Amino acid sequence: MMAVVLGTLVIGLIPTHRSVTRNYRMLLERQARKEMDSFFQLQESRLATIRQKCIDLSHSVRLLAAMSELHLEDEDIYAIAEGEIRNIDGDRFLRFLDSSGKLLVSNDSWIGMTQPYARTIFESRLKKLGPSLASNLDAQQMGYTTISLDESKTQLYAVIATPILDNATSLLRGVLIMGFPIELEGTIKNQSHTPFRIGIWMENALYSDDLSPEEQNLLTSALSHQFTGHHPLEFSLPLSIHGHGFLVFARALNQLSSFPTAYQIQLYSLEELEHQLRELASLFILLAIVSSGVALVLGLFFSRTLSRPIHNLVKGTQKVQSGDFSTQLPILRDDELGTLTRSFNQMVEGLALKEKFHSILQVVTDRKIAEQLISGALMLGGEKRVVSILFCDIRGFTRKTEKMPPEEVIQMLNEHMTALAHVVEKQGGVVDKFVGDLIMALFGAPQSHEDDAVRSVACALEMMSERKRLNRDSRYSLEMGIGIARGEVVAGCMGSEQRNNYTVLGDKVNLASRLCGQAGPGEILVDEPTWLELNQKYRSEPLTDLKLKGFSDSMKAHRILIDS
Amino acid sequence: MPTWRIITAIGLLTPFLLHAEATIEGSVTLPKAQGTSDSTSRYPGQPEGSHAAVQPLAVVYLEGSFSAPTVKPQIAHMAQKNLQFDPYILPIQVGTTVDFPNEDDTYHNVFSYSRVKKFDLGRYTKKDKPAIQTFDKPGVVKLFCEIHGHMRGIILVLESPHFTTTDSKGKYRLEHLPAGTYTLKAWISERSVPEKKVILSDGQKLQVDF
Repeated sequence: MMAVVLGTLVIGLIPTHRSVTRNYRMLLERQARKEMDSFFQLQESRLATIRQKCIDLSHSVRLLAAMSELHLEDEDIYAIAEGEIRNIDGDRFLRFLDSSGKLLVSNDSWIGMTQPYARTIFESRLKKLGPSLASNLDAQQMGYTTISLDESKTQLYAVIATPILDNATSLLRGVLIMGFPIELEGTIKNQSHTPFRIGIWMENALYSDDLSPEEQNLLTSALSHQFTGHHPLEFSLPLSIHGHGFLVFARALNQLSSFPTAYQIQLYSLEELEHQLRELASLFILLAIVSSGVALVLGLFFSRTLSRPIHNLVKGTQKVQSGDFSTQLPILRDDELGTLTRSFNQMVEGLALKEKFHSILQVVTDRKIAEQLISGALMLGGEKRVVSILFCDIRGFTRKTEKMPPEEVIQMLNEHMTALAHVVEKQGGVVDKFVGDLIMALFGAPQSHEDDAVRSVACALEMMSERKRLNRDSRYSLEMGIGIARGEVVAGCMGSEQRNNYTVLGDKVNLASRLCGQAGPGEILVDEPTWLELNQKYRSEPLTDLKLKGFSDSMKAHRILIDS
Repeated sequence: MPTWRIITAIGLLTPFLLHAEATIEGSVTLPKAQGTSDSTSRYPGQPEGSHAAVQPLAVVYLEGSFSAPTVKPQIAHMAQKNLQFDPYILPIQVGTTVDFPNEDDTYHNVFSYSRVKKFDLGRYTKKDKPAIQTFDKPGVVKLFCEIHGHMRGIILVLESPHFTTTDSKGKYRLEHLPAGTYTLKAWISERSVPEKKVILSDGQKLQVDF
């Protein structure tokens, strides 16, 4: 259960983590875009005035006339421009290119940068850029450049190139270049919600007032990889500085310009995100611990209330399986488990009862018959079988037991019958019934053996010897007579449907009974068929003058001789 | 024979002997008419379509060495009419004086920065009479109007006295040309001045097209 809980939490943590990261980045991207837009618009609004001024200047007729003349001195052109320029203030830098992109030179300081060093750099860049600019320029374009004024200070300049077109001929007469410094700091930082740093990337270098030199180096190397080969309009890029995560956003400021593409760079710290993710992770861990604890407690509780009773039930079942039908379980609860336990007890009682029936049946009938009865092999109705019937009773029983108390009689009889029944069983016979002092046994029903006759005689002999032992060892001394007859009988369950028992019927049964009656104390009398089957295994002598009631005089019988 | 007859005959014939004139005529392929359409908004108060497209014309002239000019210095006129220079291109001989009358109801300010002749007439109306300019150096003078940026004019200062402007279809005719070897040039634009060498003989009529 704990594994399930922990597993669920882990599986829950991973998509949550991812979802949080993704959402944060999306939000950040949206915000970055908004801020870039507002920076862009701010720049545009600041530049709008000066851009318009450049356009107005480019439309000046005198300037056009001057640029149209091929032989006018550069200085003259600037002098004419001076007359045309209204309200150019600040550190503005004005230069002209002719129609082929060649820089027109001026030494006048009022329309140049105040620092000659910066001016020289600017002019050399213009010289390089001039021809391509002149050939591609059909509308006003913007560019950016940085100039290091000294070792520590680098100034960012915006450059506007305005074409001077002759409307009458649509020819380009020259290009008006206006450059001026711009500041990035304090532009939009105050309006943003997430602090970020800003810079401008161009010509494979990063310019920023905001970043530390180290950050600048890392950012530069990360960005130069990005920019090799292609110039996308906009992209974002994750970055790691000192193990902290950052997100870099870049957008081209002057995509369709003849100037080299400059990018606005914004650096966002992912510290907030990382912090949130850490919190999320700790929350999950805390949850994991708590729910594991709860799971543990619940588990213990369930084991106590559920598995223990179930365990007891299982133990009870095992006990019953091993034969202990006295098993009863205490009913401790008033719920389904209680009901189950009650049912279990009832079931065990039923089993015990069944077992009792079974054992009683075995006691009341022969075990073999009992088993056949239970299995349903014996039904009402019979069959003809060849069976050896053995009758054995006690000589002078009535006389002997006249004076005995009933309990003693029964005790004596039980002892006698137990011993003899055991012998019958041992010899493979079946006890049919006990009638007072008489025991009737069958050999050949319900199942027969090849040597049933022999068994019957062996049984008789062992009965005798067993009685002899008992006479010696027990309190009572008795004498028996046995008669055995063999032949075809009807065997089956006889009686009514509700109550019947397995027995045999036929002449031979009567004969065995008569022979038993005729037998003297310690005598075994067998009929002719039995004797024939013995094959002289046992010594015997024929009987003459047998007079049996119900049988003809010519009935042959034999007496088995017993060795004392 | 009366001597006066011989003298008269010689006198009558002399012009034919001394002035054996040739004529060149032909046709120049002119560039398409150019017009600017942004003027109506720029000049409030002006009726619409106040200047139609200007058909630039060409000037055909003969270059070579000629005897000293017999022409007296004349005054040529470069007017401002319907917010255009009229004529668009004015060929003059070196030494000619040009005046610039304003025939419009608005101010004009004609100026040129051409090296050949730099001048600025300032603002003036129809009533004012601006200073005249004498052009004593040969070359191309580009005219502009400071107020009306679309206006373009050209004064072609030539050494030769033999020049003419084509008509709007490009046809021209140069007459009274002396015999000799010369270069015939057609000034179509700054970048397009085709030329052909011609040898003229007396009484010749030549057809040259550009």
